[in-house]
Amino acid sequence: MRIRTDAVDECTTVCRVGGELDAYTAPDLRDSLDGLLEKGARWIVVDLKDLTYLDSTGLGILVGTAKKCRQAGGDLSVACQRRNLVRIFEISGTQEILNLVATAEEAATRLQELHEGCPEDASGEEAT
Amino acid sequence: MAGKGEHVIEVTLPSRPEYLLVARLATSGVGLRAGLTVDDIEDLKVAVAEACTNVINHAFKKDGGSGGQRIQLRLTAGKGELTVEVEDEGQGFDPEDLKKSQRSGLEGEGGLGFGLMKELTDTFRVESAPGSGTRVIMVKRATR
Repeated sequence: MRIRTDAVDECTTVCRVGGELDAYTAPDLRDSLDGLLEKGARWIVVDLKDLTYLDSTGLGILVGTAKKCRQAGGDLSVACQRRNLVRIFEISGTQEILNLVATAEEAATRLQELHEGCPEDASGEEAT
Repeated sequence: MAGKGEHVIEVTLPSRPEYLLVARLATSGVGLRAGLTVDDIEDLKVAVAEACTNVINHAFKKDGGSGGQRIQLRLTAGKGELTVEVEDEGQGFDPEDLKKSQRSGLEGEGGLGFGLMKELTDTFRVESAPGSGTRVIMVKRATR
């Protein structure tokens, strides 16, 4: 599994996840997302464009992180349009809690809508 | 014993998360042989991994995860369908507890994994009892 994080703007961070997310690889994602929260990130886009496999362990981490973001006054949005993965979100009924959209750009827009006071565009700055 | 035209593949895996990929690869390879579509196989891979993850997370809890535990995977490829049995010799559980979990929705302890297994396969059955291990039987038929 590959994980990369980048700052989208002053308050939004995107975490790009590629490969396969299962019970073996999930702890790495949990550590990365917890690390972002510890550094103060509250508005997180999780971009699953390059993810090919997801099951309930990965879902649990995404839902848990979404809750932590909200507790910190932010939110999380998942970007995914791979058919077999979207099916997992649909069956589990997690599209709403994860603000599921198709692309990372839509996810960032979704978070901006949720956080109206967010200053726009200081893009391209690498977080880690 | 395999029926006429059936192929049976048995794989024994250590009950450890690093071997989930092997379970998925076996499902994928045998699924192709059984004539399942790519989408069917993607569904079944998740269902099989959920069953194996339950073994890893729950079946040998009382043993303290000492490392000698095994997952038995039995794949029976028929014409246009694949039957997968995931079996362990762990602590088992009362299937009534599973029904209660399912009645309370997909969430809850283990409920999400079982919910996915049920939704992603055509037939799903659990055989278990406290102290007697667990066997999950799933059938996926090829989508026409």
